[in-house]
Amino acid sequence: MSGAPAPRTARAWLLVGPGLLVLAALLLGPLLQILTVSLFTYSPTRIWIPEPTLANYRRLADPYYLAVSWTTVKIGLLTTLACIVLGYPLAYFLARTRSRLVGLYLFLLVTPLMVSSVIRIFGWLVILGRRGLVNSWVQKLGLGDGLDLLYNTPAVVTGLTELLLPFMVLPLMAAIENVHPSIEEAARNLGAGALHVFRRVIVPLSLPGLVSGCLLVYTVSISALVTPALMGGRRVRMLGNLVYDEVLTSLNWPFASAMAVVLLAVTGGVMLFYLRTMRAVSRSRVVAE
Amino acid sequence: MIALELRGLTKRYGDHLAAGPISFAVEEGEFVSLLGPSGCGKTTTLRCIAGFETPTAGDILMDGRSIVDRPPNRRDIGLVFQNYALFPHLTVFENVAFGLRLRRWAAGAIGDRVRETLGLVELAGLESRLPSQLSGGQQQRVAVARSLALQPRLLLLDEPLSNLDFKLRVQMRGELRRLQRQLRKTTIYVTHDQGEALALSDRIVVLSRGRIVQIGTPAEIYEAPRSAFVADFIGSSNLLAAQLEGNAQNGATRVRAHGLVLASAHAPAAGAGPDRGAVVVLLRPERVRLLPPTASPPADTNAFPATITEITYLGENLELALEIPGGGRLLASLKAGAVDVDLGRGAAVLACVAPRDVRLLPAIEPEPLA
Repeated sequence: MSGAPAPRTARAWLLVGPGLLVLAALLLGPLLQILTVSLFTYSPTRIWIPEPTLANYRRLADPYYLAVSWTTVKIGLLTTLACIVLGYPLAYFLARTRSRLVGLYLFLLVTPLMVSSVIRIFGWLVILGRRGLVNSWVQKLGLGDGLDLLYNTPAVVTGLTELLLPFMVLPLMAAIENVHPSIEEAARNLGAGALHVFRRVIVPLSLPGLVSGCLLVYTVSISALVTPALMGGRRVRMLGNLVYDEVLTSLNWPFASAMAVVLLAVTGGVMLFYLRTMRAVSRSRVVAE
Repeated sequence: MIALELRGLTKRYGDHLAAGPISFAVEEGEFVSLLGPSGCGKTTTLRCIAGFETPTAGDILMDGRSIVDRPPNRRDIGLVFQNYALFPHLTVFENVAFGLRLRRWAAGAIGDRVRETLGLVELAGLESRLPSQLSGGQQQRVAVARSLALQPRLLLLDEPLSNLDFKLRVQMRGELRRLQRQLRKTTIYVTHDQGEALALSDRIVVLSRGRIVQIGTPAEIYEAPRSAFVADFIGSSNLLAAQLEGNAQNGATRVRAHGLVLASAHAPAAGAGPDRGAVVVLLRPERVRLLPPTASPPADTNAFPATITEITYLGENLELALEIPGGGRLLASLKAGAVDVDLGRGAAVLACVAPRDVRLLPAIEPEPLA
């Protein structure tokens, strides 16, 4: 395509355009509206009146909402951690196995994403409930009587980890596949035990996969709604649940918008901090060693 | 003193026999090559020694003690990988220091040893580079240095030159030989390149289909191959089916190949199979001399008329295809500058082969060595 000097940029816009348009119309627009509404005043009769105020944000400084924010971040971090701990061995196995069943394993890995959240969580209720599977065994073995396994932070983290594990495993697996097995063997040959090979070779070389896995799991988990609603009950509330209640029950949209903005800011802030740190770590590794 | 010994080493994958039984011993300071075509089991054998494969049967002894139950990180064996397997996230310095750090050496001692080893492979000054910033030859040197830095009891090299271009390969071959002469490190070298094996080795172990078919010095392997397979695999060769004509005088043997009767200075290999008189005659192309057709050949030499059917110019050498009495074909290789006959397609010449250059090999592949 020779001719005017413009075509390169024109073609670039043509390629980016449709996606950008969809994003602008369906994401940026509503986001801006949420931001605007969060600065409006709540009205019990008209939902909001366009009188600018910071009252919605001030209300968020209330200890209750601060605690919920902290719970949200904590659950996000714990879920990410759980996914790292469970995901690394799984990703390593999937990346290295020469089994013909690898396709089946991958299918099993993503099945939690294919099952409806409600059904998936009712499964957990059957397992962890007061008269559930675990408690019946605990009772049979005489280890206790009706443990509270549901409606607490570990329960929510368990439910989210089950759902989000594939988001950690898939990028990790792709990264580990790029590490030639002979590099591990070289480390073994130089005297490294399995743990050392993992720490000094596998982890640094699969860092890009770990970074994307963590970002995916963290962002999805802190905006969780159904899992904390059903497995956290009234006791473990995340920001998403509060937003939901404000929108549908209290009809306080300005306050709900303020919470959504804070949630977005927290997510964005953590992501930014995380990416910066990771980049600094990988740069210092190259320079220092 | 024997540094390493394999006793009946065997590796199977299910029904497939990858290698073995293989038995040989490596002397302290010796450079031994495992040579054979791809799929002959040489890399499997090497990986068993390094500990990355568990032998199905047999034993591996280092300084008289079995090491088969030791994990690969406890074997005191250095392995240089075919693809070098450098740590891409670590600098040259840290690659070489990797094993020393594991052994918790002091920082000063690590620095000294790394610099000393990098000097040995002539890479001083590149300590802070990453592997991706090095040429193939330099990466190869880092891989060697990384293994040598630990001063292992035994050094294993798995086709280390196969990823380099020709010029670099010859240069690195010289480097490896210099290192080996300098350090007298016991070394096992796996290759499918007979040139490398001949140039580097004290002894060569020739493998075929997982079994040892011959062990010997480079000269023994080249001059006195045990079988047609070895003769064919190492160097270029003329292999002619022939019949023994009974023993002649002076300890010489007479054989008939096609229309030729040749005297050989060697005793025939013990005949196996139904036809006990059948042998294979080996004539190395560079041992065939050509004279003008009217010349009188020296006494005690096999001489026969031949016609040149093809000439290939290879720079240093001329390769000629000859038609010999009885319709057979013979390759001859001559130094391009040292030819005193008229060469041209269709030219008649007198081909001469000394009896000591007529090797008699068994017509049926002999049993592999245990």
